[in-house]
Amino acid sequence: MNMLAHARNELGLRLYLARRYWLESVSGFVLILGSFVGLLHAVMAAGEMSIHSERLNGLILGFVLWMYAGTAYSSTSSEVAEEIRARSLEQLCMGPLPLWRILAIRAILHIAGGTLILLLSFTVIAWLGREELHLLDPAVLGIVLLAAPSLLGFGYMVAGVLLVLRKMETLQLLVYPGLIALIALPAYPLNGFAALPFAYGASAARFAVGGGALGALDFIVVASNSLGWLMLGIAVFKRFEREARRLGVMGHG
Amino acid sequence: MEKRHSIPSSARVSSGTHDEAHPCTPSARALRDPAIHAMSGVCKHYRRGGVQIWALRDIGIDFRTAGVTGVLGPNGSGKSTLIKILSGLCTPDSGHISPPGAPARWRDIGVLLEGRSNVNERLSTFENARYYCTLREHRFDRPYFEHLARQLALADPYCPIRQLSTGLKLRSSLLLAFIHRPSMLLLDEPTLGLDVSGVACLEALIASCAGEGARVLVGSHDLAFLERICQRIICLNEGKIVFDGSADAFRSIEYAYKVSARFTSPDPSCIPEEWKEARFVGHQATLLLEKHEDLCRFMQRAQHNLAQLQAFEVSRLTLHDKYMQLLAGGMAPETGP
Repeated sequence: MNMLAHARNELGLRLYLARRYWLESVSGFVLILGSFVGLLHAVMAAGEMSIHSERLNGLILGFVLWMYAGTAYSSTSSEVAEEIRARSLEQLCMGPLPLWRILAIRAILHIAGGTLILLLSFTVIAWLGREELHLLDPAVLGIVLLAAPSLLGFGYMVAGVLLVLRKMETLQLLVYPGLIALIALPAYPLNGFAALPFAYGASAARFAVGGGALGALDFIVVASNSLGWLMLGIAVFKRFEREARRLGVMGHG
Repeated sequence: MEKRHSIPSSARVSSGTHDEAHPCTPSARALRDPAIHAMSGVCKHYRRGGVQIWALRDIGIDFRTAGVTGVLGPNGSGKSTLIKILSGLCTPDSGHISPPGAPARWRDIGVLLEGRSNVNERLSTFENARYYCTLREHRFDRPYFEHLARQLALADPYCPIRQLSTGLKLRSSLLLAFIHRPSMLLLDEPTLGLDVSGVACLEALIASCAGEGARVLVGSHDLAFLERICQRIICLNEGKIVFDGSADAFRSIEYAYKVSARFTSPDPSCIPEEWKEARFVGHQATLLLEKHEDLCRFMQRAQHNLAQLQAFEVSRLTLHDKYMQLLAGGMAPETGP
């Protein structure tokens, strides 16, 4: 069976949950959309800014960065924590598809869902302001998307620790302040901070929103950083998964 | 040290008259290639507070013969570890499982872990079944799902599992273990929380799957349940196999019959000669006999002294009797690795 069939299966699972808990799904969607659009309009009204103002673009970028960072990180670690809580992780570990691949499929679906919400938010903002939709440069969105897998790798590492230690949800939450730091670090132009996950992509995006032009080297650096952290994250996750199987903690309550 | 009892592989195919009475007779089985053929030399230890505890020691089991195998053993004897190793959730310290290549064989194994509902309780049995069936790379067969739901008497397989009672949750989990028609079923404590009708449904389902050629390994403390469904028994103690053979052979090692009586007086001088080898606890006497001829001889002699008895009962030794006997005898493990 190919990955596409598994992706369809995972999408089906999401749809089952969304349909059965439709009120929760709709309210979650409205909450994200409403808070973003509401905040944006509140800032616009308070500062008498137009939708094309640079400060507003900074706010939008902040939202985009946080959404991708949070989604990429939590799509693996939260999934594992949730499966452990539901005691259904073992079922995933007994399938022919390796667990890290199932998590990768789920992460892609999460990121795709986030992108959909983002595009919908932009559409709603543009519709409310009756403005043409030019909120973010595609290059900015592109570099943020390209940087997201680095945090996916980081999420894999935390998910791996959860596999062995089981009840470590506080560890998962403790990482969030670190995520904020990664988004805020001045990693552009290229410096030591650029080696950290997501930092260079976030910095470069801020630079581009401020009027700078991104070069091919920026994309290469972000892609290499993403690939490196993702591979490292998967390797660490697999190591912890082997350790969990060796210790026999799988199947524990 | 107790001898490890085993029977040759040729003898394991059939357990004589017992198999003939069972719905999954060898002739009825269209043998399927099992996901796991055999395991050999498997050892596993855990560390608890710096102390090494052997969960399994030098375990070798052949799964190529069809039927239902019961795994017996006291708490901590290694039953759950054995099932977790076979399901791939736990890796052994040493030993081999054939054929190699865990992910491929997981496609064809159905597992129930420690009588628990390892499913997404926010979804219905149907939604879980569809998801997990595809996850195991098998086509979801809705008529088969409905057939299983009927067999397990799941009244509403379309309502969220979290709304079901404990017993029905377990039935849902059992359905998920069977839904992809695995060639090997590993069921750990499948009767935990099931009512009498649930146990009967499960027995029928296991028998029908075994009849279709699936290998079923059941770890349970429910000896009556195992006695009804198993053709083969593996008995574990302190991580070692102390018996591996047919259920009939297990019951009739050394003794086949149990004669119980309650004497009017516990005075040893009043005990008839034929009861001299019995085990006495107060007025109560228990005598174990090896063969049918021994029983006939005993009955002929005992009939003259029935006046001294308040109660008298002859029964075939059950798995429970045999198991208790083994435990009481301290199933001494063989030397570990």
